[in-house]
Amino acid sequence: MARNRMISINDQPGQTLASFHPPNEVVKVGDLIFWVNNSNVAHWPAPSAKPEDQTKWLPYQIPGRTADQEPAASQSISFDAVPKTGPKVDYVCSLHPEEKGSITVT
Amino acid sequence: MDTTTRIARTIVPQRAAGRLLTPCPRRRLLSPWPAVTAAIALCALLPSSLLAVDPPGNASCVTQQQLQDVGVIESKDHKLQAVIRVVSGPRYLPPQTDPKDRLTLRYYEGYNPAAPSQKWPNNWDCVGPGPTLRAQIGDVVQITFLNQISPEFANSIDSGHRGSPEECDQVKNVSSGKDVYPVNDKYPNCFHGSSSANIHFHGTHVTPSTTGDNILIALQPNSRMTEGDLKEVDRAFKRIFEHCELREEPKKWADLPETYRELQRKWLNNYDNNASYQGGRGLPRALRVWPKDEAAIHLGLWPQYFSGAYPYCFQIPEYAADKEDTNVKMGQAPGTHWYHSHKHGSTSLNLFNGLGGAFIIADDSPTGYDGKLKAFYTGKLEQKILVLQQISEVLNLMTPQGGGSPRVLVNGQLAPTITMRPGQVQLWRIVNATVQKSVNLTLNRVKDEVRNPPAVAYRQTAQDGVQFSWKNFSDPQNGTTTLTMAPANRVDLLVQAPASGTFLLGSTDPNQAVLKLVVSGDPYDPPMGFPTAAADYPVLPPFLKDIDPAEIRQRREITYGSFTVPNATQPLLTQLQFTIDGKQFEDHKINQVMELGTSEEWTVYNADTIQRIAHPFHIHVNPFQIVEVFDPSKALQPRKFLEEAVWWDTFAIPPPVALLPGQSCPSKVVEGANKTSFCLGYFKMRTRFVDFTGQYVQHCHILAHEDRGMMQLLEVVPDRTPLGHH
Repeated sequence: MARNRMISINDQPGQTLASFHPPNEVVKVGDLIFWVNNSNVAHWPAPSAKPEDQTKWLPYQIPGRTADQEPAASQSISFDAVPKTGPKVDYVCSLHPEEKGSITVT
Repeated sequence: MDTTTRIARTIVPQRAAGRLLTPCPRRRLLSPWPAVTAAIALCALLPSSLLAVDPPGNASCVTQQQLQDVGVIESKDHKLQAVIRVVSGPRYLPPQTDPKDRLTLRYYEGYNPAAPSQKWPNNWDCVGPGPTLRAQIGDVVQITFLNQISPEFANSIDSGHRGSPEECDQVKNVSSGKDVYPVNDKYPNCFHGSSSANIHFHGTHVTPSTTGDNILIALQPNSRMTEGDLKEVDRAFKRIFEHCELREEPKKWADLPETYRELQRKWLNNYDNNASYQGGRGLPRALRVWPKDEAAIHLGLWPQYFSGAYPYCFQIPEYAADKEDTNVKMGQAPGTHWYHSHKHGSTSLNLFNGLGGAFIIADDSPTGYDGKLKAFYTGKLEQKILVLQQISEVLNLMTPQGGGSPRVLVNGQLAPTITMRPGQVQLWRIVNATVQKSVNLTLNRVKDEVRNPPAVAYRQTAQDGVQFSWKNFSDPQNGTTTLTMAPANRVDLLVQAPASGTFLLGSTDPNQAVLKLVVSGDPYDPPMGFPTAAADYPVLPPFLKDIDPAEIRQRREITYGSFTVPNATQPLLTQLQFTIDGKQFEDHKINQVMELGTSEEWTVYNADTIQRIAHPFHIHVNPFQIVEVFDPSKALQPRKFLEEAVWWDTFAIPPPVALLPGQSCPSKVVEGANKTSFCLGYFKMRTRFVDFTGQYVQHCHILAHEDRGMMQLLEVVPDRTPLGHH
């Protein structure tokens, strides 16, 4: 059976960049992958930092939160096959390209 | 004096401040998830009356072979008091025992504030039903219902929290670049809003309005309530519950305590201002929920949206034959009922998460259903409550791969064992709380045992929580037929163990069986047996007498059907759509209007010529008596039940069958694909729309069909016909 796979986006104490947890999420073909943004600024996972790729996975950024707000969750994405380029798919935050993560599709 | 004033006058003094606080659930302390961690401080502050559930702790349910009983919350002094919370977190799905494989699910936690040792779940961390509720006929039900689901689910909140202008859940296949969902599904008949909550008290004959069996409300999650907020909720609900005991349930918004109304106003405005929408925070005017509530309140209607906490309170009606003119017309049938989430658009996903539980309504009087059986078996009748569920994190239609049907679990366990002594009789109360699975109740002997072994003897005592009459119980066919439970059906069985043997319920394959029955130990000599005289059998309540055809005010025909979306968008998983009377569910449209106090006869056809499956018809509030069934796959003519017909509240409509050239059909004939003629299966039922006005629904209980539109809104209206106008 397919599973939900949640990736958290968290601020890191003393650093300006947020991080993805887990940094490399291992999923199966057909699993539903989504992000929950606990950071106080918006983030936007995308397959690359190219402007044309920004909406390839998610149509909108995931807004940040203040202390009294619930974190926001994204929509889901899924892979219907192991990518021909290999099981590991790198991605970035298109708003902060230094923030990197990966998904391994098995 | 308005209700609010009356509430203020009857308020019971609060217990002294500074009550001992229950420690936070262990799961929350251990959770690595930041928002949950943030809730730790809050939960330490919650009033003990709202947080008295001990933490679930381990996976013992996975390895335990014997059937575990679900914890019971029981009524006392004519009150069923419960705090039920919808929460979320990781849970073991048998047979998995690795913590890394736990599913993240929504589930019910509950306890009895008047007897905190009655609680569930209890020291385990497995999937499964919510606490079993047990009340008596005539009791007042008082449930503090809290929605504290964490935002750890995608696509979960109504009205824009996801950041999309569309309101259906969305999944994108990033391999192909195409959408997986919703594709051909359209709002409101699509999967959405799965973190909104409500409760359907399935099988109860209670008001469908306000704080009753009201499935039209949506309780938004709110895990950020303060200690002060919760104390206000506690106080406000106590006032509401006290009035329910006086049969003064709130009828309109102004009947609710001011403090609770203010909290709702604050919380819902907070939701409108902070929900994520299209990458930002705050909903546009058209999607805001508080203005919708305000508009309803202005019209004198009960609002739809609530946040965090909702008071369910209603009386389980007790029928009194000598007060027929002034009392209820039907009364509540004592028996095996259940409760489950019923938010349109997320009923299937939430039942797959496990949001269901048994609701036993008992009649312990000397002639009543429970009292009579206890007396016959001189107190030795052991009962087993078996809640059947399928558990999954996701829905097949939302994954690019589709998927199989999850195994059926019993009380959260995989094929658990019931051990009975030879000759022992148990009462099995079976609830099919699965989303979509029909379950065969045949008890198959395990092979490799003695030849010609004795079979398990059984007698059905109730269907859908409504007891059999003596005539039906003593029918020679009772105990000889194959019983199949459609989703939502309940069956009560007296099961007598034979001299020896091991038996599998639902399959001959141990890897597919639902339950294992092992016979061992000292025999009962003589065997406990079954009632053989009417005097030993529960008396049928008078309100369950046959509905006389002369009572019928109106006859209706209802047709469950399907169609394929023309020129459908790829992928085609959602191309197949489901309808009632040719249409899908529509907001703000009432499809059937019935007059209070009348009886009707409905013929319900199955015109799904595409899938040709038995859609389980279910109607809320009132059970129905089936007087005729036509299954074209099994008979040439309909079967009629003229006297003491069985009462149901869910019935699988026999599917249509393609007609061969020249073949006759005693039912309607419709044309399907390729100009094939189909003879429609149907059933005919009679029911009484009595005791309660209000709006509720009838729908298919394959719950993904309901979510996707196979549902109608009904209204029972008061008899306000002019006496005459000539």
